[in-house]
Amino acid sequence: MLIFRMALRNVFRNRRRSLLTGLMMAGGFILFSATIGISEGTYGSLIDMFTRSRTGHAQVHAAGYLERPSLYKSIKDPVRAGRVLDGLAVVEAWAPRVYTPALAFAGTKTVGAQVMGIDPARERRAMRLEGQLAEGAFVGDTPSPGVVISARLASALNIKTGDEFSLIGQGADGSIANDNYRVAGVLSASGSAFDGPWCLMHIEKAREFTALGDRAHEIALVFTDYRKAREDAAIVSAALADPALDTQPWQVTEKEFYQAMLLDKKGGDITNYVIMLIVAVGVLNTILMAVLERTREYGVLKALGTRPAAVFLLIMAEVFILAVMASAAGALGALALNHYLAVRGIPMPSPISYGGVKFTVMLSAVTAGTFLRPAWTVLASALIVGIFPALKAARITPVKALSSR
Amino acid sequence: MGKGFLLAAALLLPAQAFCAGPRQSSPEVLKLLEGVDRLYRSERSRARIEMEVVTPDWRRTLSMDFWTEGLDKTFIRVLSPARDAGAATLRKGSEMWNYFPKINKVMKVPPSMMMGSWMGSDFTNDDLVKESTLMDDYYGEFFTPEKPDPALHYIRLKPRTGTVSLWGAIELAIRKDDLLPVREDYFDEKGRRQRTMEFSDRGELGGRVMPRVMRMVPLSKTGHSTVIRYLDAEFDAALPADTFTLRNLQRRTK
Repeated sequence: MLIFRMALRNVFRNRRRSLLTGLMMAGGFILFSATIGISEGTYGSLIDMFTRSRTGHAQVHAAGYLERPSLYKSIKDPVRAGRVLDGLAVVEAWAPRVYTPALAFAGTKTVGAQVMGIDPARERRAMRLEGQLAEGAFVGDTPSPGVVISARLASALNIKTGDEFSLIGQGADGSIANDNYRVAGVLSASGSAFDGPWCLMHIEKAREFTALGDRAHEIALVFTDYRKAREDAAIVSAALADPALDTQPWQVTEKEFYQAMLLDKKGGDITNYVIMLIVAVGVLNTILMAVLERTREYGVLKALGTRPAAVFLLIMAEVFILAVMASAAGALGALALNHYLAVRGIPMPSPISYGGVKFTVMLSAVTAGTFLRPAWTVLASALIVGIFPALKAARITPVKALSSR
Repeated sequence: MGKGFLLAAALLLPAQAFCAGPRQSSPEVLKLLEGVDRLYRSERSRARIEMEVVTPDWRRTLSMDFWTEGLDKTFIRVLSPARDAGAATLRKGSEMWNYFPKINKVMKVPPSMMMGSWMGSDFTNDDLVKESTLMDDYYGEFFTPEKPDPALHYIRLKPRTGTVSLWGAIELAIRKDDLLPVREDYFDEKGRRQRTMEFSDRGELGGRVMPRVMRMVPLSKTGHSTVIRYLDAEFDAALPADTFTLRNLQRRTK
């Protein structure tokens, strides 16, 4: 307790020095916290943009469909599944889908296409598909031959809005699926989640095409909080209670995107560690100077019989007190800065448009981690860099110290 | 040279292989197969058939009309179910076209799709086209299976050296009394049985006695089978001149 009181007195004895050291730590805290906030916010926006452009926060499929999609691996009773999903508070919206590969023909052009049957009204509540339209109209709420195609399919078939084309595929009853369609709209070439040769049609038309009856291949889910996708997917899975169904969060259904994101996040972490290293070196420098300045003082302490361990603890306590105070001040500063960044954000030099959303500003997202991670880092780095000056002071020889100026 | 008429003959029966002068077929085998060949050959034919396709995922029955002329011309028009009605297939020599009335489109079957299923059945497009080349690719010899039935002849077809063939061997079982086929087994080059065709329901058809039901079972696909039933047949009657034309293929039917 005596050591703590002495340390506290020492901190306030040279206010300017303590202020400089504290500012160094608090500055690092604020910088680190803002970086985490912006990083979380940006990834949050990206995840939201990505998941709501097509995939959803989680998807329900027939077991085995994700590993090896097949026309026959379908959700037998999507109506029952829908009733269960409607009863779950974590599910904000859901949309059933039908998929099938087909051959698309227009004039002399033939190209492989991916048909996606959608329920436009449900998709509107769950996704942002309409925003990805470059021209024309979206798939109508009632079944019609009007379909929306991706820019790639439009270019491969050399067709535009209003043109007709044919699709040939496989019916789920073994028949040859074939029908004519009219292009109601074309999706955007850039920034659309539909890169490939996609053809979006009303789910009832897709079911008619594939002779799939009432079945569906996928139910895309949107949760109230995307950050809880894994937990919520488990809740949905338990509620559906059907071993023939498989519910997976976007981290699994879009594994490649998720892994790329994790890798990018790791890159961001390196930047954060560099920031903290700079702060730590600064803290080391200030504390070392403070110890050197007080060499005589430590010499007197040692000459009076203070044990080296006590001197060591005294300096470590000073560093700890400073770090705690700096963290508190840093947390206040970080709160203000993060609030500003969460509301106003940092404008993007060149806005990104994807999945029907324009990404113009990088916003901060504040979580417990935004404050806890910098706090732990500041405390830990201060204590670690404090060890060296503390050891130096503890090992001081009284005679030498007293003779030094 | 005999001429094909029935689906089985047009699709699969390689009887023609033996009368094409196989180098190693014994005179007895040749004589026997010529008998089978005579039974199954006709200048022209028209038949109405029912094809039932069973898979673990679905089961469906198609009714269709079937015309043949010689070995290399086949025309098929689907009558039901309504979803497929009017769809037609024309084969001339080694070329094949499908017609889809709903989209009014004729599609030539590309070489890459020749091993694909014909009308969702266990017959491949290749089965429809390649029959005429079997006669050049295989030769026949008698063999005795482990448990032979004294009422049957057993003949094994093997590919001739220097030919590229789909099957390592084809084994036929033919009834001695009326020379009607009972069963055909298809083996790969490693001697593994890949598919079996069974002939049953012997009865009168177009003035001849022959098996009216054929069942194809691919052994590599559990739960799959295709059954063809002949409902009606007519042989050597005159066919409209444009039967085997692309124009006829595109003719819309009510």
